[in-house]
Amino acid sequence: MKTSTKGYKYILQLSLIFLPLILIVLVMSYLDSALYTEVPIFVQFIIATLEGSSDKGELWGFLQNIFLKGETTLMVVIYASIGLMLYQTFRGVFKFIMGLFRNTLSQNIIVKMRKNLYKHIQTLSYSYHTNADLGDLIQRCTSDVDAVQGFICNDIPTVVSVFAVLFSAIFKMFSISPNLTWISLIILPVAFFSSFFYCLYVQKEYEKVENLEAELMTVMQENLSGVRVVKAFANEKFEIDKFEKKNKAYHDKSLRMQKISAVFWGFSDFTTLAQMALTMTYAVILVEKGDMSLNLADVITLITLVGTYIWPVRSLGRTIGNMGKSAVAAGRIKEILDLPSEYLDNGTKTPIITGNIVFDDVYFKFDDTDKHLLKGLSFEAKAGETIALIGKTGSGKSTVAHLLARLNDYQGGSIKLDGVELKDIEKEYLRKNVGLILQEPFLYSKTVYENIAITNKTVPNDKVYEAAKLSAIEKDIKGFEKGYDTIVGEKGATLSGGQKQRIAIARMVLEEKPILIFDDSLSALDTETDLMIRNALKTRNKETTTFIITHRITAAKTADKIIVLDNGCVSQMGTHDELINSPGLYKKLWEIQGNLELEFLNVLNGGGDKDALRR
Amino acid sequence: MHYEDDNEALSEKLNINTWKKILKVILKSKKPLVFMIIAVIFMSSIDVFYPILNRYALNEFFVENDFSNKYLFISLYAAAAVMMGLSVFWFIRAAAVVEESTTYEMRKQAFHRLQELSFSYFDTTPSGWVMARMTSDARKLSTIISWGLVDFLWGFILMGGILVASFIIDYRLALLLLAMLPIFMVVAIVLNRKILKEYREVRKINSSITASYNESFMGANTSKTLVLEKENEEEFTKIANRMRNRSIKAAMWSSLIWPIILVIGYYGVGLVSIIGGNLVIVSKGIFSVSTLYLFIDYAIRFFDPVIQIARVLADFQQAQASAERVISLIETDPDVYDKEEVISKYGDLLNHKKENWEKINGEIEFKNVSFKYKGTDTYVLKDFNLKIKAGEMVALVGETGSGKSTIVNLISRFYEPTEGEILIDGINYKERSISWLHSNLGYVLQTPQLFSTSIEENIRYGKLDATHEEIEKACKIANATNFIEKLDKGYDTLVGEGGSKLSVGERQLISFARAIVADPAILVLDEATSSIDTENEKVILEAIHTILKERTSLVVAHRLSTIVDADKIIVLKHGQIIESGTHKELLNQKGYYFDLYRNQFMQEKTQKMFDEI
Ligand SMILES: Nc1ncnc2c1ncn2[C@@H]1O[C@H](COP(=O)(O)OP(=O)(O)O)[C@@H](O)[C@H]1O
Ligand SMILES: Nc1ncnc2c1ncn2[C@@H]1O[C@H](COP(=O)(O)OP(=O)(O)O)[C@@H](O)[C@H]1O
Ligand SMILES: [Mg+2]
Ligand SMILES: [Mg+2]
Repeated sequence: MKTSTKGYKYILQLSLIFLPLILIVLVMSYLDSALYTEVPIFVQFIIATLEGSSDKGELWGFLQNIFLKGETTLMVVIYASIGLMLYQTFRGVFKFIMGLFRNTLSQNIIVKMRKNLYKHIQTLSYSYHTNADLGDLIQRCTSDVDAVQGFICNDIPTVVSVFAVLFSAIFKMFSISPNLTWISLIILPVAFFSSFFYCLYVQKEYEKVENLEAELMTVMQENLSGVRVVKAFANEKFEIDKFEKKNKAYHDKSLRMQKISAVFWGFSDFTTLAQMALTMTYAVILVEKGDMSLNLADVITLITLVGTYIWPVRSLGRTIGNMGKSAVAAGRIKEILDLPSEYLDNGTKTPIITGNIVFDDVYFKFDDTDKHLLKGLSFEAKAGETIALIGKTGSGKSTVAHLLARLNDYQGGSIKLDGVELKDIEKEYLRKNVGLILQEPFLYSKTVYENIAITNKTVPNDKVYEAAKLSAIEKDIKGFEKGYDTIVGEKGATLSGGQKQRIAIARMVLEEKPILIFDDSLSALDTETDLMIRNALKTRNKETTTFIITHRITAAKTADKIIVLDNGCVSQMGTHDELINSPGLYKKLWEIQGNLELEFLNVLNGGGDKDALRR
Repeated sequence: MHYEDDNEALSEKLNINTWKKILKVILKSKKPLVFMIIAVIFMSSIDVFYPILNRYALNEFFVENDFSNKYLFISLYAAAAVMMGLSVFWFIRAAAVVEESTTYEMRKQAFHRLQELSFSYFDTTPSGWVMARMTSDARKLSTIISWGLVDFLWGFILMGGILVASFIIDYRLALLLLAMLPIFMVVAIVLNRKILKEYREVRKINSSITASYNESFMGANTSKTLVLEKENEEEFTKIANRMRNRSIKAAMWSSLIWPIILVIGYYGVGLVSIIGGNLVIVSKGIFSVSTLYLFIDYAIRFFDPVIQIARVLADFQQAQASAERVISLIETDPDVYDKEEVISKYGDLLNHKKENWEKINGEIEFKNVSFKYKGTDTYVLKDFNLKIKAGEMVALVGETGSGKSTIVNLISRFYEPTEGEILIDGINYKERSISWLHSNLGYVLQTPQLFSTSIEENIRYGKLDATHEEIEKACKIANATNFIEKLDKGYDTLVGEGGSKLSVGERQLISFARAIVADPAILVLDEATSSIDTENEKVILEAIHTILKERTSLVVAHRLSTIVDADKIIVLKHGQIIESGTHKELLNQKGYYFDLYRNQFMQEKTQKMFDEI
């Protein structure tokens, strides 16, 4: 389906939700414009009265009756003038109320879309977020949302009011003089089509101008982010020349577009006045020929009415152009909302979890690949055990961890948690019990304290401090200038990789969990700290099943069971002592480590071979 | 996006100095400015004139029924239409020229200045801030200046014209119009201010919404593992609702302005009708009905220019903040710059006097150098001394924050010592030009910075007049030939924005080639290998090995393999040298380097060898 078709559908859906409010706004827009064309009729009445003509014009009969109660001409004029003032006061209040309705509508639509997007995007799958284009998503949530809002709250009401003005003005003009009305409508097709085609042209050109500006901004951006490179190679002049070229190109194109705008607006204003002139001239001709039905008041009213619809009609072209763009924006939003939420496929069970895990012949592949990454993976972990996962980079260690938290779903085989199939367990419940610390954890732009207490804002202070101590980050935090109140994350203080990892650990161990998974989360720490953290956690709760993903033999050595992943299967499984005595990857890893130690000692003893280190 | 917040720092007082400087920029396009003003005068005069024409016609043809001047009237009307079209055409054209050239000129000057500014500026100024100045501020400023000026002039002349014409025709009604003026003005100005203030609030909340989205998307997967979706959503709902309520409140003010003006305006029209109507009756035709109509017409037309003027005044007030920021950028002084004498001998950044440049050897010496970053109190280096012989390779090792980058940046003269001096070939480097040093410097960073052109042009960045052969040769040395030749378009492959179409490792290979083609006497590698995947690591390490030969090089590295070969390894802690010597010597000292080696380098090495089995 085309993006814009999708967009129109989405706009329709959205409109149905807010139908009552939208109808109110549309009806009010119609009325507002129709009421507007009544204003010249008041003036007509006043002029006609002063002229002493018997035909007082098209003003509503009941008003005429009231005004004509005035005893003298002056009194009638005063009544009518006060009537006009009251009428406009009424219109002012009406307009204000309409504005309130319109703003409420527009804000409600914006908030609705924003919340929907926020909520929905959060529930998109792990894989989606790993590959998502952040800038594009943000754009959909901000400027696209605004465009859709503009479609419903500005563009449609504008179209309605243009037609309202047009119809009621023409209707009034007809009752004054059909002949003059026909002449006065000559401008309509001219104004409409010229503005429509002009808007098409401008939109196309505008895109080009925007592209040129984007190029200019790229040069700027790259100059700023590459400032070290620019300076290091003494290329300042080169950069200035490059910028100058883009700056000039943008300037020329943008100016050209504006000059064409100048032609359009010049032409447009010329036709407006020309139409006035034409109407006037024709009126003169009619009167000269002896058309007695046309008095001064009528001519004045006619000219004023022509003025009321020319402007709105001229804007119609732009509105229609806008609507096309907004539909595309709506389509882009709909595309996101149509992506399936990961919770569509959720279990219902909430069994008591103690930490017994059984992988049985598990198959897994990514949606966008053909080959299976895991091919019949089987192993078992008992509650309270520590399991080390070892494997080459890319062997699927992290993937196994993600499967356990159901960030990804296995396609074949079974994973049982305390006897319950993983897919039958409610995802939120599962994740609350499986403490997975990601390889690249994200810290929120809040204080250190808030980051640690993020899963439970009302947790007592002591528990936060305890979690920090357990994760060996307490000392670091106390070293920060603002301690626990230091802001971290995107805009906050820069923390070292190890500090980030430890804060991520602290927030995960704030509350005890039956299962903990460290996905390389201790890699930036030295061996001693690594062990210290895990021992502390073990002391707190012996029943925790712990997975560590690592390539550090000293860490793996302490595990109850070491699992070696290779080619999508378990290639070896056992304790350290068992594995170093049987041929296989683990033994090789052990040997590498041993050799390195040896080499290291060699160097220390004065011998050694430098090139071996570079291999 | 966050930098838009700055826009709200609205300065209340008129800053004449800023406007003078802006005026200087605008006056560069004098001719269109004059054209613009003339065209606007014409246009507003027609606006004043043609209601008079209407009145004449109405009176002559429909009241007096005298048709003798019919043709004159028609031609006058036609002339007015043509004049109107032409003057609109001219003023838009001229205003566009003023607008575009002002944008152009401001951007040009700002960019020029940016090239001269030193690192301390970029450290403290986020690039987003600078971008916002050069894009939205520059644009806003020139739009407001050109179109604001047009609207202001138009409004002013139309208003004045209507008043003058009114006084000539009938002073009583003219006085009435004049009396309305202050009422309009006060209402429009007060409401405009209120609206501006409200919208500033809204924009602030708006940017916090964007920030929430940003954080939510970046941390989406972490939020999943922590089961934070509900909390996040609640938090977001709070912000979004706050935004809605604030916006509705702000919009209330803007829905108020137009109705109020309308009502006041029509009270004026009503009064004109009553007083004028009385005049018509009393004067028995001397004050004609068509004159009354003229005044009604004028009264209706009167409020538009007044509103425009009020709006332009508010806009200008806002533009002043933009102007101040743009000017502040253009007028920032660089911290690192060449002295007059140096410039006259060696040339400035844009005109190098290469004929006077000495050949460089590459000997570097820190003599009692102390350094602190601008705006901070603590010294990063204190009485630092270091001597590097020409052609020597020195490796810097130490924890994050120990001062490694600071040292290489000082050598590169991206900063200058706060105290003490740095000698190159025995002479304080301030005695030579920045460009001289930089032309002899090669620099490779942790995150390779590429420009969005072809591979070839990116490499040529190291030496602008390099031939294709030289580039190929550099690629060969950098081990980049393999992957480049596998690409469909080879050297002409476009690398995408920031190099995004290549892997990080490939980008790094190109940045090595770029440094090689420059053939520098001094080469600086600041953690150049730390963001490289295992696939590319081997080739890159080989490349490094080759290019370090025969030049003075400083290597900040995490990888053992780049360090072991160094002539001298310097271990830094808190800006102090705590150990120095060769790899072997340091291991034997069993100090910091020894620990580092065991903990970090061994781990790195293990994984690498394991992956290679
Ligand atoms: N979303 C994805 N789509 C396709 N392939 C992926 C995706 N995520 C990871 N991979 C690939 O799957 C493999 C296994 O990744 P991972 O489980 O992270 O390995 P490990 O943690 O053992 O290094 C890698 O080769 C990686 O490139
Ligand atoms: N632009 C800067 N402004 C202020 N302080 C800085 C700046 N850059 C670095 N520092 C501080 O100077 C010290 C040394 O930093 P740096 O030289 O970058 O260390 P390294 O490269 O060894 O990690 C650190 O304490 C750091 O916080
Ligand atoms: Mg992994
Ligand atoms: Mg550094």
